[in-house]
Amino acid sequence: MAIEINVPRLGWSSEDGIFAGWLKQPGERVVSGEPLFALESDKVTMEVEALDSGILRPLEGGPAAGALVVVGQVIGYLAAEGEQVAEIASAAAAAEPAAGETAAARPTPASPRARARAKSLGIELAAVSPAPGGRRIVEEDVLRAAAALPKPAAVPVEAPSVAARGRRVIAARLEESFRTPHFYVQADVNATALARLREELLPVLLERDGVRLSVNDLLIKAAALALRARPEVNRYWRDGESVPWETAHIGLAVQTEENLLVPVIRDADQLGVGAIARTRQTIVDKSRAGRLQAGDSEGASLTISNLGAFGVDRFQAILNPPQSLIIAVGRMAKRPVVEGDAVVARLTLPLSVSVDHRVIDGVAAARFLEALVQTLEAPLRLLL
Amino acid sequence: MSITTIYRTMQLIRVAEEQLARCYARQLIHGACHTYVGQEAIAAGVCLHLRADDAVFSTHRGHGHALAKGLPVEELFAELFGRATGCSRGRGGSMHLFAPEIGLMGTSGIVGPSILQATGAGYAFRLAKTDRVGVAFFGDGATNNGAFHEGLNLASIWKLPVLFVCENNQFATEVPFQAAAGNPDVAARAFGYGMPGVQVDGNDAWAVAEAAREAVERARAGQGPTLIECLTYRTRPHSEGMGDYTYRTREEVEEWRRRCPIQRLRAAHPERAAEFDRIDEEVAASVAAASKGAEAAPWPTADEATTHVYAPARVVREPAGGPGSGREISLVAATLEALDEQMRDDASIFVLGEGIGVRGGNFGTTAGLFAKYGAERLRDTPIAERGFTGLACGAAMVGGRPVVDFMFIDFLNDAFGEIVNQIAKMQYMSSGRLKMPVLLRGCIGIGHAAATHHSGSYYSLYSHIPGLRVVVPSSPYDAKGLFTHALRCQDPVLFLEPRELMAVKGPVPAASYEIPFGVARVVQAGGQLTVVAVGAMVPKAVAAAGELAGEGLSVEVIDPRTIAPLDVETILASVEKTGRLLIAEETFAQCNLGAEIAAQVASRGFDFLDAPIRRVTGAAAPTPYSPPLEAAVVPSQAALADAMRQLIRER
Repeated sequence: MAIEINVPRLGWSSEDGIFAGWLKQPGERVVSGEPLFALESDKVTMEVEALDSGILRPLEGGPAAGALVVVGQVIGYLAAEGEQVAEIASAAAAAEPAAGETAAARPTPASPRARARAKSLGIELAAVSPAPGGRRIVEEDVLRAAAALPKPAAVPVEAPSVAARGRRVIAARLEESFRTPHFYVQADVNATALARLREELLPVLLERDGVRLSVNDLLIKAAALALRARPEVNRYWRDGESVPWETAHIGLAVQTEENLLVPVIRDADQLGVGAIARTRQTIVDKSRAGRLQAGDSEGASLTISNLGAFGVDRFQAILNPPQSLIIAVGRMAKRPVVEGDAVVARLTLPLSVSVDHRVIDGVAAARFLEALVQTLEAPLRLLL
Repeated sequence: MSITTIYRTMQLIRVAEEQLARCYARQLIHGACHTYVGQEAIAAGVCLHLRADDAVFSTHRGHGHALAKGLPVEELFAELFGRATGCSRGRGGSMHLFAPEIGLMGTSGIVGPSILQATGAGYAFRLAKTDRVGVAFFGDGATNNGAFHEGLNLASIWKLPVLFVCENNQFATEVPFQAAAGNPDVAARAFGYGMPGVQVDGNDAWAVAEAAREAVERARAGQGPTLIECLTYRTRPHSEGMGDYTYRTREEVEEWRRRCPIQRLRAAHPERAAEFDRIDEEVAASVAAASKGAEAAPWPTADEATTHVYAPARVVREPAGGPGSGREISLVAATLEALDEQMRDDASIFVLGEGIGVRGGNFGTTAGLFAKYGAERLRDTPIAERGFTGLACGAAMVGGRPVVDFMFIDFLNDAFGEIVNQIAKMQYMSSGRLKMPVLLRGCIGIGHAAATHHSGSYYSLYSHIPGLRVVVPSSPYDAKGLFTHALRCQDPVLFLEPRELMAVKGPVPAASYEIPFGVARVVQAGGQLTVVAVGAMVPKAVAAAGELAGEGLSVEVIDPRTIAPLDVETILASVEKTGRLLIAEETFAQCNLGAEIAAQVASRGFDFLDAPIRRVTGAAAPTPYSPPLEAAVVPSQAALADAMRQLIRER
């Protein structure tokens, strides 16, 4: 009798995965413990080992590589020597009504009160199970699951704070973002001219506008100009297709006491650096004061995240959906650089651009980075 | 002068009806249109002797009575046109004309109630020591209805100032009276009730007027009611648009047209021809103007569709002290105290029922009151539930405040139509111009082998009806406060006392106090389960909750106290706390109060629920006699405790 090959659960909460192909040929002899097929979940691709031995008989009309499969689904059989596929198919057909596939996929019922409580606590019902002998999840089960979560404080019985809800939004967005296919292009900018320009403009703008010009302000302007120079990257993924941004708004990652916020400097390509500095000062203040409005964080083509002030040399950032670019800025410092045949000390600014590969290919990303670097290394263009 | 008035009234009715028939054809009238053509002499002759403060109760064929009683003709047209300026504000149409300000207490789409209501008006007029009279118009068809028997008997026993005017037009809808009456001599039936019966030619206005004059004089003089049978014929179809010559012949109709009451009066008074001609012109002009005016009148707006179902509520508060811990009296003694206090303060209150006079009521509900207030206010009745309930309706319509003591509420069902079709709807149909302070009381519930005709509850049934208030107290304290409130409110109230609790004593303040309707009582606070219990199930639920407390389980018990209005807010607030709801009732499950509560909580408190809403109810069967059978149809305390435990533990 042929043995079913089922889709296993990857991790404790997955309900489905992507079938990534057989690792054995149909008809090939498989020994228990050998890698049998590949399965992808959100996080990883895993080689699933055979639990039994036999001749691999993939299910007729079963999943092709890249197809979505649900946990428990039968995708093939390990047959005995000489056992016919037709027999397997008919055996499977006979067995089908008894198979518990749908039952396995159906979530445990939960009372309305338990659902409401889980929602208010931000707990996935899939992570809650009824008490022993129970048929449905009740409020008590949710509270028990909440208490079991690794949290420093006691279980919040009251509604979560605004900050906690904000954190939940961030978590969900990052989780979504992390599933988009990223790649990274990186360069160290020669920051000598940039630093000099900032030094020269600093007192002027302080005197004129009362704001302290920061390197970020210059980066914002430079990024906006680079977007305009390379419109092929000023796009994003929406409902299964790549669509252009009409604008060149730039987001700036701001860490507040409780949350990560990304307020937006609108039309940065058309603003002078002084205006950018003033706007940046305003939105950062608003962010810290918790007074950002709904529209203040929307519409940016890309985000600039600068951890240089915290001594980070270089890092890679996760995209901020729906944007397809984020620039991770490291510490501006003198670093050894090879010039001709000599090693010299030079002020550099490490940039790492994370890219959504669904929208932008490698060469386009490289050209964008090139435009950005050129502008920053000859920064008088920022004043044009 | 009287001849002129009668002629003008008849001509007005005739011309108005003929114009309404045209308007029906033009589709200005949206429903039925029952005309009075051919019968004009009766309304004109009877109403000649009525004052504005005399009360007329009429039938589905009531246009003529309305006009004869003084309804402005444009209000009649506007009503049939469905306009806001109609006499019933567009709520009634042809069959429901209300103008209580001129003594037109209402016309009815049901055959019979007008007889009982006129009797009730007569009762209230007598009680108020006035010489006003009540007049019932009804057709020959009504004389074969129980209301005729019960109403005439009641009016005769107490010699009430009532005219029973039978318009014998020889067809009940299309059924010939000859084929429907064993004794087709209606006037002769009066003898059977011990009152004068007069038969007159209903197409002779003067003969009708003379008979009415005598009857009104007798009534005003306290000599009692009269039955007047007026032989007549309607010469248009039962209702406009209906065929006419299946059940009668064209020749017969033509023959009666020749006996036209208007032409007969003209022929009898040739000297007045010029005067009659002038009246004809005036009437024609006024009806034409009324028809035109009504056609231009505004429509009622949809926001008026649900107003006046109840009288405006009096805002009262339950005293903060609660029952306290003073003197303890029984539930029935508590309502007796309330009734006594209110009868002392309000002379319009009177009680009707079997054995509630000298005897003081089967359960002592009126013990000692007869000696204080006399027979007129504590009226022993014959066993005629429909009759005295209809009487109570009519009495309330003219300002009385009747209390009907049914003893066992099962008996109330014999008066179902009077309660549901008349008492409950009267405030609405009159656009709030009538108030209906009728208190209907009786005991409910199963116990002591009372068997199926003395064990009903029926509160779910009646709470379904808009216009009724339904009260079920479970403690002496609640009973007194709710009974007092019932006697001060303007709505009809069913006050249903759980018989098994009537003798149970509890603390009741001696001073008068009110408990408003629509405020539930949290009998016992708890955290794990909400139990809503009604009537006799309240003490059972409290006792069961006591058992559970010993097991460390915490139950909240709520007594809604009034079924209509129902305090859903208190129940919701409790379920929000506990997450679990059990409804305990002695009655059977289908369409009961528990079903309503469950629907409301599922709708408004869905997210509060941690388990399915459950009910504990009686068995769906009539109540049997034998003790083991009886016990099997009522939820026991043990069953209730089990249901509570299971629901608390349900996962």
